Amino acid sequence: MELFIVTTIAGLCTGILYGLVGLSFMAVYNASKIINFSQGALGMMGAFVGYLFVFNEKIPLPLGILLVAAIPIVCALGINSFLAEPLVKRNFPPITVMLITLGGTLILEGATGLATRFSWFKTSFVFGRTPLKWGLVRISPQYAAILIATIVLCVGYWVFVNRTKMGLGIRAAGTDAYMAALVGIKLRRTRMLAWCISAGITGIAGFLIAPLMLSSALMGMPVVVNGFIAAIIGGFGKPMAALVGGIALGLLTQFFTGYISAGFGEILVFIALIFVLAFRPQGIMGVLE
Amino acid sequence: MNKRVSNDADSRMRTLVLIGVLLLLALIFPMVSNPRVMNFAILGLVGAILTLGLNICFGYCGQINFGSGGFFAIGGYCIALLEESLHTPFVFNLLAAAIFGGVITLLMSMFLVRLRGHSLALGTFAFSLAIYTSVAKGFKSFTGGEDGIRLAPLVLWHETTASDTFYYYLIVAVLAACCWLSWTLRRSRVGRAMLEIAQNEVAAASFGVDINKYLRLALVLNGVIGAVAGGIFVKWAGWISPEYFNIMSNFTPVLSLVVGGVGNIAGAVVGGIFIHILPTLMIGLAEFSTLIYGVILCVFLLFLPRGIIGELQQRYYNRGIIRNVNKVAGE
Amino acid sequence: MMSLLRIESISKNFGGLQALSDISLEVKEGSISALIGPNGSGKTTLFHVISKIIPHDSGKIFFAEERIDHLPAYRITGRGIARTFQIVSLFREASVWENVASGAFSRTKAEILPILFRLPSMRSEEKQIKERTMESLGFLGIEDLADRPAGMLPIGQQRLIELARGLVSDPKLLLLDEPLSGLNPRESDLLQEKIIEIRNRGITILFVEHEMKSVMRLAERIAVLNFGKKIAEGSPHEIRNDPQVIEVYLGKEVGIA
Repeated sequence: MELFIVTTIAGLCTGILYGLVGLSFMAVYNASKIINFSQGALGMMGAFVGYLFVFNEKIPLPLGILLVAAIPIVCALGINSFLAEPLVKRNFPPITVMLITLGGTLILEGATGLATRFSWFKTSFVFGRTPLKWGLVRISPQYAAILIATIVLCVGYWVFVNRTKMGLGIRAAGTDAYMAALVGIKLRRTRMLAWCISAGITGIAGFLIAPLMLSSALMGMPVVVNGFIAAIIGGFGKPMAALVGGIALGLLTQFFTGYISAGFGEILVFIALIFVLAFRPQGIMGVLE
Repeated sequence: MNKRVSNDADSRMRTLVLIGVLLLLALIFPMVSNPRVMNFAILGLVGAILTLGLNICFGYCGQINFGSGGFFAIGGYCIALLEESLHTPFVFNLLAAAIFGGVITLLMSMFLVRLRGHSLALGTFAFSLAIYTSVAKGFKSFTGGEDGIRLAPLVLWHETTASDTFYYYLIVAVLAACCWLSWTLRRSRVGRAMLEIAQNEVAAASFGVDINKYLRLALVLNGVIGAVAGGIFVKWAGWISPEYFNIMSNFTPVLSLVVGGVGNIAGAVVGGIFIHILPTLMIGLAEFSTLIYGVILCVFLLFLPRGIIGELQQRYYNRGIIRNVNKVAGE
Repeated sequence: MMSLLRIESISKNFGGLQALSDISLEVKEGSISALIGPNGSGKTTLFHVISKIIPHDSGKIFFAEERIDHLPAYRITGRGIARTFQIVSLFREASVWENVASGAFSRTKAEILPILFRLPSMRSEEKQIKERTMESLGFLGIEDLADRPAGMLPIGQQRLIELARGLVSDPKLLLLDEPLSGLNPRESDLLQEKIIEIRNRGITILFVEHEMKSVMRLAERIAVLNFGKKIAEGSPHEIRNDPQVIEVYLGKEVGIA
């Protein structure tokens, strides 16, 4: 029973990470029809900032969390303004824009790798290590923080996109860019906003998950893939569905690892993708066109 | 734009002469070089083969795939495991690797061709990562995990061990075969169908092209070529481990095409050689390679989207309308 | 004359909008027929349904008395139906030659192995493709354009290229979606002559047009759609005097006269 709970929580949390990355992918995709390959690297930047300032307790935690969101946002703005937008302006196809975000990813990871000599970041459990008890459930503070943060971020995202004027602008730009421009929505600014939000979310997610996995400059890559697959499994195009897909993936891999054997994580993810494509291509929450 | 193809006979003559010169240079190369340079050459040429494989998918069908590392791994491990368990000769193993690579890619592509564009790219990336982690961790008992498998040196006729020069010629032969395949494919109805898929799927389907079928074909060709390259490389290196197909190995062929020229045979070869030699050229600066790759990719996409060969053709050679196709810029 | 294309009760709904309602139509072999109707009446949708670019909700389609509505899009040309598009759908980056040659795809069959080894079968096929492409280009008077990139040409020439592509596929039925749209009077007259010539070669033609003069001149039978329903069908004379049709077109500047 103990193993079951632990595995479930672990699955939930790693799944949430994938889901948040998937959500970020969809946020950017919906606003600009571009897949931002650097999503994983931005998450890594969150972990890296944590490593630089927070885990060694050089600065107070609240300021640290701010930086953890802010620095990936700055990186995302850089990639967007200097790399992606020039191509978008020249009407390059979205796949090429994705390639240049891959370039941005390599630059971010390469630079971070140089700074860390491509070895692991030292992380620490900033929320303490004493497990919180709640009935039968013992949950580590880190996991609790992940769950809480996710709820906050998702609710915040939902509220922003569905209840604010700027959020409406993002949704409009994603649905029909031409019409949106006609009614006065500034497309480029809307895209930048979507990129910033997704970068902030991913940065925090990276920071939170860093103590639970081996963090290094290249940690972003599998995350990109898994986040994207989470989005597909949940239902491509719907940010909230990505969370569902991510949780499904996380639970699947954790249970397999916990009860059967480890080391098959990625292949399970791939098989899950194949399965979904074969039997339910619209994803768990998608609608078949 | 009133471009016309320059006189067919003239330009054909020019190309043939160029190819002849290159072949000659390639043949006499081993006699004028030293072991270290041979090393570079082999690395670069294997990279060129991988890039040519990718070119069929990306350059012709317009679909990026990040599976190159996976294909390479399939070929390499196939050779290593067959040698270890069945002690079959290299020729047989290589053939088996090619077939196995084709079969696995076919299976994978049957599901993935529903996807297009970025989804296909990430799907193939997932495939490659799946292979990497299964080999490195999951099936550790079979594959030796991170430690890898040792391979015996290749013994040729008269009991002589294959030298670097032998491998060099073998690789050049495979490279030439891939160039031939690309060339003849490009000039056939299937090649035209692939280009159509890249430009206008609805029109392509309306005129008889079964898009899924030809995307599968492109992926399978990519897989087979990658597996063969992997098999030969691994036998030359005498050793296989997951090191050889780390994450970057999925990106270097894509990078090579962008640098050389997407859809361009010469571009694939030039780009492939350059990008795959780069880390070894940067002695002592190996840690910079990721960063440099990123910078190169961005610089080329921003300023030289046609790639080196593409730009040269556009400006000086000016031959053939189709060479001016700029997949990257979507012109 | 037998019925070459027979459409039975085709319906198509787009998320609430009934684009096609129970459409039934017959096109006789060897004829030139027209499909007309105001914008949005479903003409192009019907073409898309016939060529299987979009699926239909109900109904059947018969071509030469064989059912074709269950086939995927890429098999339709092989049966003998070719089409052009309302918005020109050429392969923009390819040459005119390659565009027109693409029409021959469904009539050839060299696959990867004959191609790899350049077998005689593949080579003779390529030769045939070249001949038929040049013939088609010559028929439409655009053989000079063979090496130009198709995307760069003016619309008049692009429409001719689309037509040439359709002809190379050796069709029995040619579906033309607004072939005269965007052409100047001289180009339009030329194309109309070519359409008649094509019919005289034995190819059946069904075309969509807005330009009434050409419709009245070319078509032997006309079907009229409005809001996804067929409201009239008959000879040009009958259509010209049909009260429902007149009412639908009332207020339009181009009269039916």
